[in-house]
Amino acid sequence: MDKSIINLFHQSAFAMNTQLDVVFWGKDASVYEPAYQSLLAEVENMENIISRYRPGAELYRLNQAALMNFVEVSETLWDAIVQCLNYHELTKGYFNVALGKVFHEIKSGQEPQTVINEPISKLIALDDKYHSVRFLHPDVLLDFGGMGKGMALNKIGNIIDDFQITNAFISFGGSSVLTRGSHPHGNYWPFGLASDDQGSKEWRLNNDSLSVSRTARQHGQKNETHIVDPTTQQAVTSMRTAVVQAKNPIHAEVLSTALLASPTDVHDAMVRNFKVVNHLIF
Amino acid sequence: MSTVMQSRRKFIQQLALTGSVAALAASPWLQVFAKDNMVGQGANDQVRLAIIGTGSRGDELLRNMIGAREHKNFVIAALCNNYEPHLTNSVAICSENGMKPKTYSDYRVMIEKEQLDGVIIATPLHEHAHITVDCLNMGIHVFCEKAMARTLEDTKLMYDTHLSTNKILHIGHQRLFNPVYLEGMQRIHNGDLGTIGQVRAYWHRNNNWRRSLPNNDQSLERQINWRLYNEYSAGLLTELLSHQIQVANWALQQTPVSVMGTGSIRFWKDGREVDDNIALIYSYADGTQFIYDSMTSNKKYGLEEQIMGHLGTIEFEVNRQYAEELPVVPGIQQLINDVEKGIFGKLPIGNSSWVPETASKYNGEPILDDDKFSDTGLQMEAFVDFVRQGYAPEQISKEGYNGSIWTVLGEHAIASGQKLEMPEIFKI
Repeated sequence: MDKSIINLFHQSAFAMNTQLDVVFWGKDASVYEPAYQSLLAEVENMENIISRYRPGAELYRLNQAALMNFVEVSETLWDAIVQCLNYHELTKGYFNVALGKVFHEIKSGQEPQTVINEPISKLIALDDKYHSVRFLHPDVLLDFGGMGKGMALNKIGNIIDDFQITNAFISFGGSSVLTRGSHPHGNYWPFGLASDDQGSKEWRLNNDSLSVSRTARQHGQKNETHIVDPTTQQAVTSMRTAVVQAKNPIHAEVLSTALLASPTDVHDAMVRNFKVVNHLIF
Repeated sequence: MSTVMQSRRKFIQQLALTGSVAALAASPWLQVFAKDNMVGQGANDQVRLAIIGTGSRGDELLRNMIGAREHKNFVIAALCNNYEPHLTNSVAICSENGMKPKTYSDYRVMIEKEQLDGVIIATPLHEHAHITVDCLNMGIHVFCEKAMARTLEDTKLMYDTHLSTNKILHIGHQRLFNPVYLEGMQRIHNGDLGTIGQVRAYWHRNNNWRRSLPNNDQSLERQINWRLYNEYSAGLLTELLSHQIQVANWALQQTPVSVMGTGSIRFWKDGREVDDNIALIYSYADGTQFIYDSMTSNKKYGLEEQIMGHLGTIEFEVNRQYAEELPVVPGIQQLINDVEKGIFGKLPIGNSSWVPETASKYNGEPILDDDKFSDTGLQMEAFVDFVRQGYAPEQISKEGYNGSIWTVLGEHAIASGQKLEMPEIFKI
């Protein structure tokens, strides 16, 4: 295809604590920059809602205040919390956003002090009439780390569609990917995992998403624990990778996390609860 | 010496020993830290110092020096203050730390009677010049708090006296000894930020500079609240700007060619004479601009010095450096190359190396991991070492002079409403 028709656009930004890469092609250049700025603004908006680290973010403030009272939340945060409770069910409890404090202790290498034995229904109360949330346990800390990038990609997908950009590749850190259309020289987006034993497999994406999760990541000389089994509240120590391809980027993120947190014998049932194009655990 | 201070000294020593040529040229005072400084503990090796002006800043300098006096072998032989309550307070600080300096209300008597190697001057601004000149002429090395003096003429007089007496004139810009600034300046001078286009600095506070008068004694108003009166102070300029224009000059390794500015009393309308709200632009010969503002009725933005180049930015007060552009990651680079060449190839994803180490620089990374230290303490230790060796790098006097002279010229620019250049007689 001629380069002038391809008209490739690429920009990078730092967002959600990683590198966001945005690639468009096949459109008039005048569309790209406004679309890019729109999606950047939306990602920033998402962080201001769902970040548990950013002081002033809505979730950060909710985590501070919801033990004492019911706290009214925005439509976006309400929907996210309701969805998470649903995902908790669909993953048989292996996806749990209420255990942020436990996850933090384990991931930071501390001897875990916090153990929460109650089911999630006993941890969070929702008032549907006022869209307000209250925590029922002092150690509840909501953490959307396992799906936040999926939520952002979902919003980005809507923006790209609004701008009628039909060919796009969006990546958060090379692990959370959204596509529209295809690669300029083929009729899908071809991906391969950057690892020795799975590098030959080709993942073909057309208007879908891919999420790659690992149980640990290397940081200098150390392996940093990345996945905690919510049902046992123990770190998953075996080195595994989960890859999920799905139309819905949130589903891809949630499932890739839950597959790593869970034993193999529950995987088939779990996957059937989501619309998955393809998945792999190794 | 505290562990933190030890580590900071080690850092500065390391910088002095291994820093780049550009870094050491820009900060030659580092050399005093390069030696291992086996200071003799005998009386003949002892440096005798006095503090003139023991108000809040004088006491802070005193406290910063107390911990170092044994390993640096110096003594605070005397204190001088013409305001007795402050003198009493400083004596108490000394007493708590086992020191018994002599006390004076007149510095001229003190420098005649005491055998002093150096003095530390922390009086109100308008007194800096005559005290400094008298001490230098007596053969005493001087550390003088910033800004140097109230007027252009007095600033030049202090500098000229330093040259003619060949005695140390060290002006109190503690950022010159701050490890974050030293490391950051090394990076700037090595070209890490690229071509610097603009320095922006600000200092915003929300407080009343007016201090209460003991027993509401109005006769003490101008003595206690000297910072509010034009006769003694240029307010925000000499108290705050002077620090930050020194940083700008140090970063750019040049002094401005012109200044324009404006100021007003916007909020604190209580009879004070100095502005509570100022804005200035200093221009440099190569086209760089230093843009400055300061106010005392809003503290949301605090203070900062932002050094902005085409490759990156440093923000010193928050200890952060930012890259302008994220490097292109291998997967994206491959995509771009493949598209160019008409190749339909698999894009590698899912590897942690996708996120380059330098990605965090885009969101800012610390210049130094640990920024807990006392730059004032390091500065005072350096002064003691300078006094012991009998000289200090000339650049340290120039940093003080250039910061001060351009501060006072900024005041003239505000008053005149004109863009001003430095008169020839004040150029060094």
